[in-house]
Amino acid sequence: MERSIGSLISILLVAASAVPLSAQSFKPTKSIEAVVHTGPGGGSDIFARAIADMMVKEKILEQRLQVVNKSGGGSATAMAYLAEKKGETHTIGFFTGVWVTNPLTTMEAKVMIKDLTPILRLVLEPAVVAVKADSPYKNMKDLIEAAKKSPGQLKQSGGSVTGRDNLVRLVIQKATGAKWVYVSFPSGGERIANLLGGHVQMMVIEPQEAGEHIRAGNLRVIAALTEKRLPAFPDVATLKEQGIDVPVIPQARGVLAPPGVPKEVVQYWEGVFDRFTKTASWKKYLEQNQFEDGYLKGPGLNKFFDGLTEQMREVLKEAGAKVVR
Amino acid sequence: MKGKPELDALNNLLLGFSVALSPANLFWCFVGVFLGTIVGILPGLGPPATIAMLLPLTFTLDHTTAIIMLAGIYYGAKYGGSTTSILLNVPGESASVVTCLDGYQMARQGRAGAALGIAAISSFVAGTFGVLGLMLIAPPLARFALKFAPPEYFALMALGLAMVVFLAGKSMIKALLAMFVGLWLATVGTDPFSAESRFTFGRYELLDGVDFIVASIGIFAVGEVLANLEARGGTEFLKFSGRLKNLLPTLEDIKACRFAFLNGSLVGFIIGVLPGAGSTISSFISYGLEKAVSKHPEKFGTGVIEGVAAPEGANNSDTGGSLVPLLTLGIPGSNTTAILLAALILWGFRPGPLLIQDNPALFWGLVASMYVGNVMLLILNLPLVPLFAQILRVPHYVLYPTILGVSIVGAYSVSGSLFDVWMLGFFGLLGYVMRKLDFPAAPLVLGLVLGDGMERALRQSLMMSQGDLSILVTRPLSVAMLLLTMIIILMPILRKVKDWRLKAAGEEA
Amino acid sequence: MEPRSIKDLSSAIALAAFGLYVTIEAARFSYLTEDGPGPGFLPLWLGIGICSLSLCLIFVNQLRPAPKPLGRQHNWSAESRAMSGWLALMGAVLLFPFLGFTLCLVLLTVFLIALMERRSIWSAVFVALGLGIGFHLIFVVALGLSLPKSPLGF
Repeated sequence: MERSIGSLISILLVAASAVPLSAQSFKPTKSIEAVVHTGPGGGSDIFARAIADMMVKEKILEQRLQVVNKSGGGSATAMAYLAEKKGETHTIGFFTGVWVTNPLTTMEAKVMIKDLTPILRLVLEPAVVAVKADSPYKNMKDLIEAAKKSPGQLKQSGGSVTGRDNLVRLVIQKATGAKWVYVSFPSGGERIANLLGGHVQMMVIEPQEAGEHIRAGNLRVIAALTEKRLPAFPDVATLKEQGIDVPVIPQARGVLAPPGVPKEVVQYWEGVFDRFTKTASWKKYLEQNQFEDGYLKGPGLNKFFDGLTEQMREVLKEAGAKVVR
Repeated sequence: MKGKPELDALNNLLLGFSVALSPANLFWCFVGVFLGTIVGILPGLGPPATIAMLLPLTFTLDHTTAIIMLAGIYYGAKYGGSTTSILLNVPGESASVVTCLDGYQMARQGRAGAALGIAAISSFVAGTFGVLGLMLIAPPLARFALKFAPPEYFALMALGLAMVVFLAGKSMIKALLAMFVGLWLATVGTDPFSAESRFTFGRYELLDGVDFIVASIGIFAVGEVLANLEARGGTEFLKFSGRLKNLLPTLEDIKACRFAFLNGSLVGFIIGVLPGAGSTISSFISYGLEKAVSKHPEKFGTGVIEGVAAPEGANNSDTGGSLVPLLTLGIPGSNTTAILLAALILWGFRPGPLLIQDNPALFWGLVASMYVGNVMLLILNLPLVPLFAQILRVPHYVLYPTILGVSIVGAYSVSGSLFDVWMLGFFGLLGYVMRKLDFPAAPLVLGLVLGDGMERALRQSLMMSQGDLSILVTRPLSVAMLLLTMIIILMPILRKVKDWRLKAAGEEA
Repeated sequence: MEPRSIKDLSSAIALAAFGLYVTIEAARFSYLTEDGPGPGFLPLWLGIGICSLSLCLIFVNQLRPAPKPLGRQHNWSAESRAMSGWLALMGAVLLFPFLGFTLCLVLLTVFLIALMERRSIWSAVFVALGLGIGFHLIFVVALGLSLPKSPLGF
């Protein structure tokens, strides 16, 4: 009897002492590797570096965030690199939508996003549809009608065929019955150049990329690809408002960790980013880049990934792309 | 108030110089070009990675100073890239591959100093030309560049591939075979239009294709080392006398390169303006052009000084050209300008058509400092030429392991992956085998560089025309370039016919 | 006129086989899609081109006059020296994850100098160590490149 009470008490003591310990059991002891899938100067690289600098400025992190470029095969190299670092507590990765879609279409990209440890989603990058300022299309209706009248004559410039630009085109085509051509250019510069040169009629572009050309009077924005209107373009209606009822395909950015990372580490990062996203620098950054605050963690995040993966699979299959997973 | 345009430009330039010649800007300009030269010398480490590494440093600097420094790294690297190409046959930068062809041969003949010197001089002349172009005709040229659509790019790539005619050497068939293999290598990786992967053998490292720098270092440098290992004691580098004549280019050399200076300047600048057309293409085309107009074309490839001057000039003037779309339209034309664009945005500038108007001090300060930077580079590099040339005095058994070590570091640092080093070994073997079987290496590299761009341009064009092939031949710009391509391809055939007729006439007489 | 060359013949045959491989692989991809040429378009034509050019090479080679008989066997010692060098390089790359860059470079240098140039083992080791230290100082210490490390930390 005494022995069982004794063992019960010791169990309770251990349990009681374990709780506060696990809440503070992880603290990084050296600089953190932040893996991005682009080379220097690419979108994710700039995003990660900006965050690293803000972390230093706002003194949120004791250790430095060291950006490591693992570019190649879309996100395949970065994801394979993270998958190999199983259990590594001082490594994180900055994901984007590509990390979800790449494994679906590429045999060699064996790591799926759910194989890694999602931590949280930070932002949603909105996009707009832009046309040349002197084009006859003042809104999506003009564009869709023109496309329906001459199917396959209008052209859109964009990135890879599995990227958001093309997926947006595919869902709009399906919903409206219009058809137009997608021409893929590897660099953003070429996409804009072809639009400005009149060789294509439209493109899906991020608002801050378009900003300067709009200010100079070269481009016009005719639709916002978001749920609500964008603060920087209050006169531009969303697709839904213009009668095109399609799901918004988000371009999300966030943080994840290698597989097999203990829960305390995830909780630590959640805590760090909880504090980080409340800072003034972060809010200013969101405003400057016209990002939507997409803060999401925990089970909601997992649901987001599952939903996105399924949505991507469907859209890609309908587009005729080979879906391998 | 609109004054006379010439006065405007002059006023602006004076403003620019007042900015560029401030002590801080002069200092950081020097730092930039110095770092750039070192980065260019080291293979595998390119301007994009270096600029990215130095971005945090620039936050403490004034923004105009920062862009001056970063631009200095950009064109400084082009100067440095020629050094290892000439001395060791290791292309320091992708644009320096063509310099290996004649530059290394000159080094083997004891004329390394002359080669290094003419590279520096040509880079200076062409670089200055590039800045002049940037200053005077940037906006109209940028508008002209916008006229380039995929059909024009296809014609440009075809023109570039036609350069194989000038790289052929003895056997045209072998050169074509090498080029086709290069074109095949370019198809390795993910197809951008269908997201299918071609020839990747299941390896994700090959999804982005074969890295050009790894392939060229392997074929040129490692292949060369392997070939030299054949003879016990290695093949002798001709001892050079150390007389000033061989340490620097002579006046005759410079006279011989008159056209090369012009050639490199024009070709590099124009191609540099086109977004997506890299400096490697401009160096190939200017080399081909130089050989086409030369009085002694058959000597190219054996150590002809114009064969160094032309491509070196092209890849420097190309820098000025690639800044045109960046500064006048906010469109980055290459990896390096993409980072410069990101840096400008990070500092709060808004690159776009209004950048020059809104920030004249930035633009004109940058332009003026590029003049200054080119002068600095010339002064920096010329005295170092005799010093660098001494490297060749090092005995072979130290030189070859050094070349291998540098090649490995270069290959590894491209993306921090051991896979690239394995690729280096593979291409080294390929380079050696090609040498033994008398297949020229330059066409393979040409095919590898241009294959991707050409296929893309072709498919983009056909996408735009919905399968109508005529789009390739109905646009004036592309027709002009395609005609030129045809002429170049027909040249050797016409020459053979002429020779054959001469021979027949001789036999009759 | 140049004589017939066994080098040209063998390389042409090898290239023809390679061209055949490329053509067969290319046939797996779609030649034409609704948007234009598919991923198989260019590789197919490249494969055909390589095959045709190789056949041209064989043809041209056969048209040349027969070579004068050599009388002695070709000495492969030069090629075998080059190949041993290549194998040594591959071996060094294989050992990178285990011994790190610096040590492997040292070993490779020792091999190249001592075995290829037949110098004394001591001068080989001396030069190799110098190179290794030099590389380490320049690339790892001064430039901060992260090259593969051995368990010893360098």
